[in-house]
Amino acid sequence: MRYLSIDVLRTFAIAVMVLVHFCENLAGVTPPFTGLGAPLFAFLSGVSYRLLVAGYERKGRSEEQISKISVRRGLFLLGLGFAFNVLVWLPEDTFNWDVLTFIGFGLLVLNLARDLPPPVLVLLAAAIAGVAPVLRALVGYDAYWTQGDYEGDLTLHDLFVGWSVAGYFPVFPWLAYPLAGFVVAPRVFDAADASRQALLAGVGLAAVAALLLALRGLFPDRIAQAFLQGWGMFPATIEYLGGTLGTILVVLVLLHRWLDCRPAAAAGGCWAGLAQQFSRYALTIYVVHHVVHLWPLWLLADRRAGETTQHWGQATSVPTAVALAAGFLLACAACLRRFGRDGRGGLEAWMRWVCD
Amino acid sequence: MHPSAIDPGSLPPGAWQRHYRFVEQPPPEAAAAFAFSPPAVGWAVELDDAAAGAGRLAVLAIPCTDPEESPWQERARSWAEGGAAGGANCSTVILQHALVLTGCGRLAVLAAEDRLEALARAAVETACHDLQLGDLERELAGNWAEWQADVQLTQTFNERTLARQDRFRRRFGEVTDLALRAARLAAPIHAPHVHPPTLASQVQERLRDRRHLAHRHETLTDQLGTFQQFYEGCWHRVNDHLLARSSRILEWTIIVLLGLQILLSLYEILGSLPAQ
Repeated sequence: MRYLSIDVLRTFAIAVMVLVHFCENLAGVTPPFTGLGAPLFAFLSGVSYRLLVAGYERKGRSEEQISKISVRRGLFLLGLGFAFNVLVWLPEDTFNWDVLTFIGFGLLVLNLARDLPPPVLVLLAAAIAGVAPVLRALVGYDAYWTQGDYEGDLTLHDLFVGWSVAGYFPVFPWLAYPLAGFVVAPRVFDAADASRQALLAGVGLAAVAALLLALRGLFPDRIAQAFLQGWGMFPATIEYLGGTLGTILVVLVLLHRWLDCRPAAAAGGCWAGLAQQFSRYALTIYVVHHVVHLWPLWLLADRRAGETTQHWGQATSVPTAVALAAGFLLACAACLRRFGRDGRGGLEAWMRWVCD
Repeated sequence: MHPSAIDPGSLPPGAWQRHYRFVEQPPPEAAAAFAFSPPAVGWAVELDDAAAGAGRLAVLAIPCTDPEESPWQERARSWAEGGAAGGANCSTVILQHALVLTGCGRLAVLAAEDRLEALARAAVETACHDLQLGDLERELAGNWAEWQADVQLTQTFNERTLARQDRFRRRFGEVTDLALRAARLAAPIHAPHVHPPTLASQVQERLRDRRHLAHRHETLTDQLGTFQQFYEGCWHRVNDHLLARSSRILEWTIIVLLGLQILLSLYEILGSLPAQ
């Protein structure tokens, strides 16, 4: 069963990521709404996995079959993530621990954790979020980041540190998002009380994050520096985790009540169909939007016999980058309307063909 | 006038028509009612209005010395049969110049005037048990498919099926309620023959036989027992699962905490290694 609330959120995540990446990579400017897309993407991967498992259970698939499908999907995304890193970010960034490799690993973890009681998963997510600042301090997080980018050596030590703590989307603390999504999904979509618990949890998390941000100055310096580092995506601070997770929960519940529980609200709107198409092809759009704006940069610089990344972040002005991003999204909408109706094609179809 | 309807004005002298409903609690003293004879527990309360309804019984009593020759026999039979939608055959008991006709929600008694009241009370009591048993049978039949579907759901108990615990608890309550109501009927339905016998007691015994009350009650009790056993088993399994779940949560909490400690130690060791 498709939920329009999930489709709308995933479309929003994709649109935000496209805009942010075009602005950052073409114009070298980080828009103020940066940091909203990836948490949503990671959270929804947990929600979707929970719904996927429920669907397989309804169809009578055995636990073993579901495990095999989950592992294959996880490995597919991991492999796709590494291929994406090599082909899009070029071989020197193979192990930058981007979002695709993270979501692939997240699926492998969710497969192992899916039979655990929800309180244990909540504890696990909280522990992962809570221990991340300590681990960052232990490994010397700042040493791996230069000029806002992750730079790890190709050593076993750095690979491990990058994957777990210091990369773009490391396990600590980002794994908290898919775990939260997995725990929350049945409490939103199967709940008799229209997900009141999830709404309260979301409001609570957002409120705690806002309080921590507001009261940071009142904490001792050591705690403020080690644990409360303000609002930031790289590294993902506790305030950022709480704030984004709380906001996502509240928005998901409200959208669920508005769109899923009252289908008449969305009936007849072409935006609903568009959101479904964008959501269905989110993975493909994620990969393609990188290809269409990064490959021309690399090829142009390579053709001029310069450094391959010479034009990165300084190819266009901000308005041009925004216009290009909007053009890309419009082109996607047109393509999806023309070719995407049958659900075939795209990386998602390949994943289903390989894994299911 | 409908052939199954009887104009009270056309009844012979000494005849009467009453409407009863059955209650399990003692009715107010002012109410016209009579208590069932032990071991049955219940009261038949006389109603003022003649409206038919679920759980109500209409009784027609006609005095006559020989019911089989009485011109009222056929009219009483068609009246008794008229209670059911589309008409239905009624049970007939003839004993010692007394005739009792039992239809759906209607009861006709034709007997000598001095025996009429006692016979009517005995027949009303049996009709009450018949009605209650019928209600239980209908409730069981109505729930059967739903309860049977639960058998499929109890193959596995895990985290995702935990939400069913409330459902099993509710169903166990429903089945137990039906079983208790059936158990309450056991005493009057399986009551031994009265000694010395009276005409009323014999008519009551024959009506019980004619309506197969004992067999129906045994069948109902067996069926309810099966479901009760099933849901009791489910309830035990849910409880066992909840207990195991609590232990599991505790175990995993310890595992997570130990894992964190190991992780922190590991990173401390990693941090203390000389840079390459």
